[in-house]
Parts: sequence; structure tokens; C-alpha cells
Amino acid sequence: MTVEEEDKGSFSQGRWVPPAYRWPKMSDGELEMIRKRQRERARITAWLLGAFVILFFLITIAKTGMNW
Amino acid sequence: MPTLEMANPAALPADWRDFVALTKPRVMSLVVFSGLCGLLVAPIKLPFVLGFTAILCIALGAGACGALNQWYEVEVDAKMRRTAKRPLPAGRMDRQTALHFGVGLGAFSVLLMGLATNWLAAIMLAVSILFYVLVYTVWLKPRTAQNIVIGGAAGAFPPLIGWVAATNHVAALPILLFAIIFLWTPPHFWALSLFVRSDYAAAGIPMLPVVAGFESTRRQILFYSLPMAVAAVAPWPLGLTGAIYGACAAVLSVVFIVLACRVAVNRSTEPKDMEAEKHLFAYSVFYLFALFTVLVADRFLA
Repeated sequence: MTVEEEDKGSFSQGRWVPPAYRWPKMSDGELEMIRKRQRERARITAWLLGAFVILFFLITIAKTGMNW
Repeated sequence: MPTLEMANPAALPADWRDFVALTKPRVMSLVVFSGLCGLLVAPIKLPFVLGFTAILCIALGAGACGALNQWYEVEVDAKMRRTAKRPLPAGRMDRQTALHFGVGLGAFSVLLMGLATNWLAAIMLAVSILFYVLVYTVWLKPRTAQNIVIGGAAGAFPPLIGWVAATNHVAALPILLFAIIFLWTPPHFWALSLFVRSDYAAAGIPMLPVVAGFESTRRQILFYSLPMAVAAVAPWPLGLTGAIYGACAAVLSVVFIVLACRVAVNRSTEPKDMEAEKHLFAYSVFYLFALFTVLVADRFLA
């Protein structure tokens, strides 16, 4: 799309239709880096969530044992 | 870790290591240690899981403070050599992410503390986080040279929280532990700010050496070291600890005061000639670790 053809939004049936969001162009290396970080963060989040489920379970047992 | 030059590094999802850096892990270690000591010297012993959770909550709360502090001070951090490489000023993370992370971590730590131990400890944790972020970071730090003196209260909470998590009430010993850290904070930070004064001046932070000068700061370091030493030894004559702690606290505090005297008589204005200040700063970290270790040892040996 040239500068002249660039989507600047338009009116349709009396309503303003904003230009479609366009992601900035990225190289394969950048995309790979983004995916790698997303994978790493997802993995760590999963481990942390699992650990907290176990922790909550142990807390419940400990508090039950203390008759709280 | 592979590096990649991007036009806008903040467009990348932040690396998990940057989230760890956001929590200021080195500061957190001292906070966790003092909180653990507060928990261990308490007369009531918690089950291991609950004790572990209490310390985890203190650590998460400290992490939230670090994240929110870095979120608020991103422009200031960018101007100082010591902090320019942090995730936000270096552009490795966007501010919104840091804010969400900090608020989420803080809220989670308070909630977990309340559920696992008691709500008095949770309220204290919440107060310490809010005090650090709102009173110290937002209000005092950019406005007054006494920022460290009052803001030091936020860092003094952990042993009190540790004790309350175990006992659900406040007593004389944890209040003295609070006082020790509260009075220890100014000499510790002012010793550092003497030899990184130019950084603080460039960032426009009114630390005492920037506002009042070297001589006044050195005098005040000694001025605060004396009541700190009294507070450190006080648990022994008050019958709250044994003689082992009393003797060790006295020796450690005398060394602290000797180093503070060396700082007080130093007239150098060049960081390279500030060996006395660097020694005091390094010793102050050791002092607090040693004092609290001896306190716990004394409790277990008694």
C-alpha cells in the first residue's frame, strides 16, 4: 500500500470506521525472539501457578491441623 | 541470551529475568532475612508451611515495592549510572507492565499473608508496602533530604511482620528490632550517597549530601549511629535476650561507631578518597546480618 493508498479510515453508513490496526513490520529474528519469550513466560507462569496450588493445599492442611 | 536490535525494544514482551530485576532481589534478601529472624525469635512456633508462606509474602511484598518504585522513578533512574540499566530506563519493559506486576504482586502478598497467618500481619504488610510506595517514593524522596530517615520505617517493618505472623500480637522485642533497622537506615544510605553524590545530584534527588553537604552528612551519620547502637544492645539489659546477644551486639556496635567516627573525620569530597565511607557502607550490611543472626542463635541457645 503506497502513502496515497494508506488506510486513513472512512465513513460507512454515516459511521466513522477507523483505519485497521497494522502491526509494525518485523523480521523473522524479531518474531522468533517474541515467540521464545512468550514460551518462556508461559512456562514459568504455569510452574508458579502449579506451585501456588500446592502451597494453598499445604496451607489448608496446616491450618486444619491447627484447628483454625 | 541472544540479543537483537529492535526499533522499539519495549514492543517485545519483557524477558522473565527483567521481572526478577524489577523486584530488586538484593534488597529483598535483607528484607527476607530480617523478616525470617522476626519469625524465628517469636515465642510461638508456626508450622513450617505457614512460616514459609509468611516469609514468601514478605518477599513478594518487598518485590512489589521494588517494582512500583521503579515504575514511579523511571525518569530518575535513567539519569543515574547505578540504575540506568534497570529494565524500565533501558527500555526492555513498558511502564504499564511494571505497574500491573507491582500492584498484582502487592495485592497477592497481602491476601496470601492474611489467609495463611493472620490479618494483623497482612495489614502490617499492606501498610509497609503503601508506606514505601506512597510516603517514601512518591512524597518524601523527591522533596526532602530527610527522605531516608522517615522512609526507613518501611524497611524496618519485616521483623515486626514476621513476629506478628507467628504470634498475632506486637511485643517489645519486635518493636526494638524495628527501631534498630529504622536507626540503621540513615547511616547505611548516607554512607552510600556520599560516594555516589554526583549521581543523586544529576538526578535531582535531594539526598542529604546534595542538600546539606559532606560535613553535615558525616556528622549526622555519627549522630544516628549512637542511638542505633543503644537500640541494638537494649534487648539484653531489658531481659529480652541473653548475654550472648548482648556481648555480640556491643562488639558489633562499637565497630560500627568506630567506622562512623572515621567517616565523621574524613574531609574528602572525591569518591576515590572515600574509603571510610565505603567501609562503613559494606560493614553496615554485615552488621545487620550479623546482629540478627546472633539474635536468632541466642534465642535457640538459651
